[in-house]
Amino acid sequence: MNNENTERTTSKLQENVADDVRRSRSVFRFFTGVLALSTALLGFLYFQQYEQNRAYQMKTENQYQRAFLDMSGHIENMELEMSKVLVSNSANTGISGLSDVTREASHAAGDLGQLPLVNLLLSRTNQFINQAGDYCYNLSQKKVNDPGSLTPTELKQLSELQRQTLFLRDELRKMGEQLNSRTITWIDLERNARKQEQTGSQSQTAWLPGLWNKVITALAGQGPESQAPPILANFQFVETELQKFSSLEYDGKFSETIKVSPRGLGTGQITQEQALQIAQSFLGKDNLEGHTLKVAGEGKAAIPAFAVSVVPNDAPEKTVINLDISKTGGHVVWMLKDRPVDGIKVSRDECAAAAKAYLDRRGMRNFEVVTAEEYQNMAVIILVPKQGDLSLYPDKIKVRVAMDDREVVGYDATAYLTFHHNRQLAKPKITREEAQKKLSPYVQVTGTKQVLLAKDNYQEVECWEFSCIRAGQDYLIYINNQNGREEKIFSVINTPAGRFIF
Amino acid sequence: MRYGRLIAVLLLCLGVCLGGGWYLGVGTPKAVVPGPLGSVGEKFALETAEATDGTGYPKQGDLQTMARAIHGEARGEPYEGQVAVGAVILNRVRHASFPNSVHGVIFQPGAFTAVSDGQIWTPLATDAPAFKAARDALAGWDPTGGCIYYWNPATATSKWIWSRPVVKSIGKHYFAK
Repeated sequence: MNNENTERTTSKLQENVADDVRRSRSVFRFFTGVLALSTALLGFLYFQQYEQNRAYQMKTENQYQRAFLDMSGHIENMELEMSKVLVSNSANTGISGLSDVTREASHAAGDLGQLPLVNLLLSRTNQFINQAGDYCYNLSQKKVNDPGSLTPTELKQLSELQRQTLFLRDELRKMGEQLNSRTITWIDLERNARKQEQTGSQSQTAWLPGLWNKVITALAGQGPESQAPPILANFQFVETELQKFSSLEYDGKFSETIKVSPRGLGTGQITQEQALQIAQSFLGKDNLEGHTLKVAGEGKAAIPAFAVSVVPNDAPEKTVINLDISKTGGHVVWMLKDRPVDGIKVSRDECAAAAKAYLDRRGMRNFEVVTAEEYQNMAVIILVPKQGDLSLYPDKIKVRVAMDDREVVGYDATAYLTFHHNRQLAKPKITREEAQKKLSPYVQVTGTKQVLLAKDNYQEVECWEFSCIRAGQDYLIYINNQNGREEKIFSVINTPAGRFIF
Repeated sequence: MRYGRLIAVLLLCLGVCLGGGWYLGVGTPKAVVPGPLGSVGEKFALETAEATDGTGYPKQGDLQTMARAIHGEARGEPYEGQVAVGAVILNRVRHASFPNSVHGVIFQPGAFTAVSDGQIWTPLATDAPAFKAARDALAGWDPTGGCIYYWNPATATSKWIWSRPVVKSIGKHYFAK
């Protein structure tokens, strides 16, 4: 019995064990299945994601490649056109060639701006391309005004430019070959550049990586900088080489030789305390009720200034008004008051009158309103001073008026302080009638005045300004009152927000 | 063993969720869909005398892009700091070493983090402070006095930037030429 019992129990046990094994096997099989399924699923999804990623990368890479190749092409054309201008002996081929250089340069600069090279700071390379275009533009203008072949100086400058363009072209060709061999891609370069920029860049501990770099430099004889990958290194090389050439002397908007130093500041240095006093009297008592004035810093811009801010006594972290007081002469350079303006209760003309009165109160009489622009319930009024009959456009002042209560919430005299001085103005050699005859016969004149106009290179010309209409569109046309030349044409666009000049 | 099947089902669900979520891009940088451009009814001004600056005239679309760039780069900064960022963009446009248009400057690869990470495509209400700042910058206010660089000294990742002479500091940013 005992035996039987034991046997029965054993067989039962065995059955149980077999059962368990069977069950656990099926569970194991089930798990394996799930695992395999999800792995397969994830793998599939990953593959899709990878493919998509690759497609996007390729797209970006192709765009970079295109920008690079386009740029190389434009630089090549720049050099070609320059070389043609150098052998031209007439104004007409010269002018069209120079215009071509300008166009190619502007395309090249646009393409360079699309490449991921911002970390390299190619400021000289950019500047070179822009200046070459600008120089040729100014030269072509000169030849339009005074037709003839190039003077020896112009020839010399242009051939120097051509030589540098040639250098740039050849360097770009070398890079093009490297890129064509497909051993390096722009995507990689972009990553590298970012890495390189960030090496040892922890600002607060900048001395530590700096020290480390010095150690490396001392041991290896070269800095980590020189380990830049190809292309990036090539661009760095171009940049340093171009820096070695002396920069071009000419009159143009990108010219380095034009340095505008402020002429309207007067003399005498002020102290911080004086700056606070000046700010206080400029803003008036109403603005400062319950507020504190403090010098927030010093600006080292073209007009060195004390930065003054006005903070409410009950909320010291909030600045309500900012203004800059020039260190020389103690003038208010600009002022901005940040406050919401709810609704429009006064017209733009009333704001213009308020702006003029605001200047009058500060002893700046003889100003006239030129334009009034309106945005976000504020009117920005541009005023210019007059000298005799002449409106001095370069010496403008901007006053921003809140359209709810006519309060002045902004002021900017940067241009006035930079350009205003006592000018020796010539008498007009051309009368208004003579000037009007120079205008296109297709425009109808609606008004005239005499103005001083500044050109791109800050050169100032006295002009007759004619307000004209053609086919319902307004224009401002400027005729030089000394030589009768048509100096400039602006298109005037009237919108509900004001009159805009383009 | 009773729970074996339940656990398996849960695991499967987890796998599907993980896979699905991963596929939909949870945790991976997602392409931000450009929002509809807010309409700007008005043009901004450029008065006659502005021609002295030698700028190519900013075009209408510049305002929208500039406002978004300012919002992405300097929201939370004092108002002056927002105008300053707009002014830096415009100073770059005028500078020979940078692209010659507002869009050229803003979209220069790697130039602005707000562009690199897509924040610039966040729709912006027309009454946002960044819009006002963009208008003021376009109208000519320049608290920086002609700066072409700015950075946040606490988070700046670039090392050369420290070689630039600081002209002014506004809010969290340093401004330099």
